[in-house]
Amino acid sequence: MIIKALLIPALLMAVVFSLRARASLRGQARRKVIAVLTVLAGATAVAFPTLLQDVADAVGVTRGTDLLTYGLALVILYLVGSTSVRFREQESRFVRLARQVALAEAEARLASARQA
Amino acid sequence: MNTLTVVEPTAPSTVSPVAEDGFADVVVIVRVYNEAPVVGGVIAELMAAGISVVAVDDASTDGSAGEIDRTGALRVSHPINLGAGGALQTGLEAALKFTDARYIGCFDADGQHQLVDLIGMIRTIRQGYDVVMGSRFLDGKTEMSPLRRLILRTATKVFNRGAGTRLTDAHNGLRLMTREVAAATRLTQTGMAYASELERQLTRPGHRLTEFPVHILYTEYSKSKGQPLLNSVNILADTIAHRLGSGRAAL
Repeated sequence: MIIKALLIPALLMAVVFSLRARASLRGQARRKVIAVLTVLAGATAVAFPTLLQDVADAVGVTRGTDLLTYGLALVILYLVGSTSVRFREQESRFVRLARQVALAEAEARLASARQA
Repeated sequence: MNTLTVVEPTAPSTVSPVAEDGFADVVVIVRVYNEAPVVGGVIAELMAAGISVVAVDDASTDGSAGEIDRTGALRVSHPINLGAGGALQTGLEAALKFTDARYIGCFDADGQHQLVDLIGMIRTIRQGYDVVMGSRFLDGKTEMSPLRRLILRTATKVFNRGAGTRLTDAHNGLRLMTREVAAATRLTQTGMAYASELERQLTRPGHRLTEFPVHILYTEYSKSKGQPLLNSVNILADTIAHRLGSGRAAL
């Protein structure tokens, strides 16, 4: 079963890459590449329906649809993981922003209280 | 509004039955999230003892900000709610920025902490410690249900794994540290899981740390407001997740 040898490392890579995605340019570029590849692969699978089945037969999957499901599951896993990392980064940025706003406002109030 | 008491540590401390040695070198961070009924009294008691207070209002929606201002304590108000850890980090930064206190403490706004415990901790840290942690388990003074005791003990065990120092009470809100330790503290966890992160930073090998027995009052108010017991499960899960996520350096 070639598919097992392909899917299990791919699964692990999807998790590792997605959690290391960060807001880096590399992570952003990777997400874009994956999006484009997903569209292209989808279009190809629609245009040449037999192709998917041929690939499935080659890697030891019964049906082409199953192969498609596996592929989509990997893509979703990566996108969900990398999105959650981005969310966390954004959160830590707005926490710092809110803290600066709070400190600046307190400083201004303190200064005006001193003048009064 | 007399906010100047905060920024002038040399100001003579108010005469108080317990403050014969003065607390001009201490500032206490009180985190406030919708505690209007009690926060004024808690802060007023601290300030009456001559202790400066930095109150972090975590975007309260009740009258907490007004109650704080009435006491004359320095108020730092978050524009949006950031959670317990986020508020503590703000408090530390505000204490460093607006005061030159030698010692920086944390005190709960809901009245469950005792001023006498804090004063005992101040006397202890002056003996040359960097960090003094309150602990509910050093003596039997704090009454709590067996289930709460079990969960807190478990959390402490999970927390202690990997940390250099053994603490008896990982999630006690009563803490006192030197200015240097406060300046080195960086909390990224904004929710309740900050406790594990904070403890890890406070128990760094170079720090002279000790525990001090404190008495927590589980009043009806603090029970209804404070941490529901079930929240311990959240804290435990967050702590373990945080441990797995960023704890590689300590393993």
